[in-house]
Order: sequence, then C-alpha cells, then structure tokens
Amino acid sequence: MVITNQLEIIKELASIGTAIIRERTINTICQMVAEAVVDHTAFQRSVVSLLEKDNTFNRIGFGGLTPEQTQKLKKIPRSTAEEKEANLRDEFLISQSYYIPHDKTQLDGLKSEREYDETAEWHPDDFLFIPLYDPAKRMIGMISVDDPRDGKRPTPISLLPMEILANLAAVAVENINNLKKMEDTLRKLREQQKVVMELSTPVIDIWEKILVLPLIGTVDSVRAQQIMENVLLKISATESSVIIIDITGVPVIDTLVASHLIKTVEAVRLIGAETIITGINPEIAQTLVHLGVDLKEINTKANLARGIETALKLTNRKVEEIQ
Amino acid sequence: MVKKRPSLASRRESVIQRIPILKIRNYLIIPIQIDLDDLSAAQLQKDILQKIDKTGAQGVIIDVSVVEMIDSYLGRILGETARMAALMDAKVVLCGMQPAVAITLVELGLSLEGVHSALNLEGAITMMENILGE
Amino acid sequence: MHEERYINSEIIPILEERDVVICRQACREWARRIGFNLVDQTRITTAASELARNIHEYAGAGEVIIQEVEDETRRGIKITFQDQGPGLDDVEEAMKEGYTSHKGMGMGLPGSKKLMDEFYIQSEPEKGTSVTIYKWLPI
Repeated sequence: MVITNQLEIIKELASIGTAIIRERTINTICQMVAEAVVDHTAFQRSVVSLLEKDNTFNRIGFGGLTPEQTQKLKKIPRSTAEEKEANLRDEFLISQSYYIPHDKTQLDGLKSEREYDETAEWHPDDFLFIPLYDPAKRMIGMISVDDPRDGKRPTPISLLPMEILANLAAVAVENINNLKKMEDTLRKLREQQKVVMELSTPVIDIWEKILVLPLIGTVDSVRAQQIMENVLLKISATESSVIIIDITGVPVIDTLVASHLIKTVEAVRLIGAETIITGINPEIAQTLVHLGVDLKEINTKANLARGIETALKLTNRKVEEIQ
Repeated sequence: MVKKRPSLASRRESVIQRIPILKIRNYLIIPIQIDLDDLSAAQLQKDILQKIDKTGAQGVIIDVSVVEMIDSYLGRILGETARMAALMDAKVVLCGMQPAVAITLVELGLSLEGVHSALNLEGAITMMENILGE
Repeated sequence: MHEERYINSEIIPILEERDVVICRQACREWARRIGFNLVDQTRITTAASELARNIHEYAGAGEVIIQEVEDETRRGIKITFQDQGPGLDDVEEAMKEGYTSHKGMGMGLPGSKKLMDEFYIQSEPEKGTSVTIYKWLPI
C-alpha cells in the first residue's frame, strides 16, 4: 500500500520533472518546485532559495504561503552560505537533507502560525532543508519546508519525493546557468567578430567624393559579402563618386571571391559611382584570366597612386607639382 | 497567432497606377514614388516611350531613390526601357538607387547593362546635360 | 530538416496582381520586425516578390504563409508559397537559370534561391507547387 502510493507520487513527480526541465526561466522553475512540494509531499509550505553571487540565499519560489506571508518572508534578511552551513551539521543529516530541531538552531524563519500540537513529533519551529547540488557537489540552493500534514518528523522514505524534486531543480537551474554562460560567450565572440570585420574592411574617405578600401589578407565569401555592403553603404552615405579597392595585400583570390568582386563593381555602378581596382599581383591576374573572369568592364590601375590620380581625374581634379 | 488578410471581395479591384512624367528642357524626369505592381510597371514603359515620341525628348532620368525593391520583372522593364529609348535616340539615366536594392539586383544576376546611373537627381541632371552636350 | 518553432504567422492570399505587392510589403514588414538589416530585408522582399508573382502567373491563385521561426540555435523568417496550379513537369529544369517563362527573365526560382539561406521546392503536375524559403538572422 505504502509502496503503491510512493510509486504514484514518483510517477507524478516524473511528469512535473519533465515540465521543470523544459522551463526556461529560473524564477518559474523555483516556483514550480515550491508548488510541487506542497502538492505532492506531506509538507504544506515550502520556500525554494538559490545561492546568489554574493553568497546569500535568495528566496525565489514560494509554496503554500499567503501573499502576506510571502511578503513577510521576503523582508527577513537573506541568510549567508556561512550561516547556513554552520547549521547544516552531519548530526542533522537524513538521507541528503538536514532536519534541524527547533532547540538546536538560532536560524530565523517565519514562525508557524499553526497551534503547537503537543502530541506531534514536528515542532512548528523545526527546520528541514533539502539542498540543491551542482554536478561538482557544490550547494547552489535549497528547499526549506514546514508544516507536515501528518505532524511527523522526516524519514529517508518521506524525504524521497522532495529530494527527487530538489535534484531535478538543481539540474534545471544548472542547465539554464550553462545556457546563459554559453550565450554570453557567444555574444562576446560575435561582438569581437564584428569588430574584426569592421577593422578588416576599412572604407576610408580620402578626398571629397573619393573612397579607398585597402584589402589585406585572405578574403573569403563571408568577408566579400561584408565588403560589398560596407562599400555601398559608405558610398551612399558620403555621396562619393569613386571607390578605389586596393588588393595589393591580398595574396590569392578564388572564383567565388572574384565573382563577389565583380558583383561589388556592378552594384557600385548601379548606385551611380565607379570602382577602380589597384594592385592586382601577377598570381591574381593569372587566376582571373584563367577563371575566365571578364574584367573589361572594370577599371584597373597598377597601384594605389595611379588609382588616386585616375579618381581625381574622374572627379575633375588633378595633382600638380608646385615649382 | 494567425492573422488573415481581408479577402478579395472586401478590397478594390486592381487598378493600374500611373507615374507622372515631367519634361525639363529636352529630357524627361520620372520620379517613381510608389511600389509598382507589374501592370503599372508595364504601363510606365509604354508611357515613357510615348512621351519620348510625342516630345522628342533626348534623355530620360528615372529617379528610383524611394524604390525599396527591384525584382527581376521591374529590373527587366527598366533595362528594356533603356534599350528601347536608345533605339528612339534617347539616353536613360537611373538615379538614387539604394545600396540594398543594388546589392540584391546583382545577387539576382541582373546588372542593367547599358543603363547609366547617378548617385542622386542632381548628379543625374549633370550627367544628362553632359551626355546631351550642353 | 530542423526542429522548428513558430512564433507568429500570417497568411496572405494571392488572387490578383496587386496581391503580389501586398505580399512583398508584408514580407518586408515581417523581416524588419524580426530584426533583419536593410540589405536582408530587401533580399527577402525581392525573393517574395518573385515567388508570389510565380503563383499569380502560373497558378492564378494561391497563398503565402509568412512565419517567424526559431530552432535550437537560430531565429529567422520562413515563407511558404503554395498553389494548386498546373505544377512543374521538371523541377530541376525550372531551377536552371534562364528557364523561360512568358514574363520573367527566367530568374524567379533560381534568383530567389540565391537571395535566401534555404530554398525547398515541391511540385507535381496538375497538383500544384509549394516553395519554402528561409532566411536566418546572422549569428
């Protein structure tokens, strides 16, 4: 009979567990666990707290408490890990939980409003903590419960459902923390990538209506696309008529990058400006011709200096030596 | 949440939208200010050619600065119009194309060969007057 | 295929010429709201215009379903174009550049594929065609 009940409870816990693990916010998880404790164990009140960075226990989930009681509880200063640990002595350990009789602790809690029942084993001011552990066995939080319906002290068997919930909650919280860490890392990586991207395609405003983009290093397809967008937006923003793309610093070019380069030239023409490509080295010249890339539409100049000269000419200006 | 657009019955029938064609000196200026459907785009081509014929204009400036998208159909209409106008001895200058539109066009594989482009209307007018030798 | 979740959807019927414009404007609105940059918004709008036109030209009528979609790692836009029109005899042929239609330049299908991240087409003669395109927000 007892075993059947226990099995039923474990089945229910398993389905609650699935819901808890799927949940994506820590507050909701704590709240779900606190409510599950009240719904599926002997204890009529529960508080789920997590250890914060400042080493205090932050009460997050509340089960079986009135809003007023919850408010009152929130006003009690958070206990620190040290204070808690001082009370979590081995002599109180039952299974993985700590049962601390009222006469053995100085901990503050919300006083039970229940009439003290002389015949019950459980004293209203007794404490019962079920710790949440991370995989490295560090405590990351705890469930504290009060007011058992049966008035009994906890036993390893009666603690089982709560310990299952505690372990589930620990896994769920740990998952979210890991996810957050991963997202943080990813975001940082993205930011760095963006900076690198911007640094690697510096479109420079060298003269009124003339832009220069000195390309250095390997150009892949992603960077080529980025270059196209940067070049076009900069031309449009500065109303420039000529962009000089200097590829002296680019060692090799493949078909894909060549076709991106051609597309850039075409798009620049479509918005009403002109491209001059300078610094094509012998290898790239060979590659382009062998690839059958049609360069007759493209204005190429040997080096950046000649490119600038041409750009000035195109914008009706010239460089003169002063006698 | 699924939102459904009103059905055909509650909307007006398709109507061809006409774009105004302005004439200045010996060329035309066409500011495309609306999102053209295919019928209206085809109508615009017809209107431009007829206006060239009627006025003897030697140039056409099409201002696309507020056009948010040029797909293969509109691209083809613009390219064709330029070639047709050339046959009628009028040069076409496109102006103000947005960078995003230009990028999409070339990625689509359209480069509107034979069409002159200018950054903005002012540039287009200068270019047109140069082309027409004034 | 990926396991995907839909955050929001909208259905746009394509019944007449003007619906092609309504469809692409709606796609741009969605792309902007989802957070695509201007160039991607334009790519999405242009691809939508090509494919909505295909429905109007070949099937006469159909519908476009725009969805904000996410999977385990990404968020983006998914647009499905479906009709019960004549369908395509040879999908592979239709995907080739220069496949001639009476109106476009044969760029509708291959062109929109180039503008998007993913492109799927299913077509059966006499049954209709369904094209699904995706664009993901850059990671």
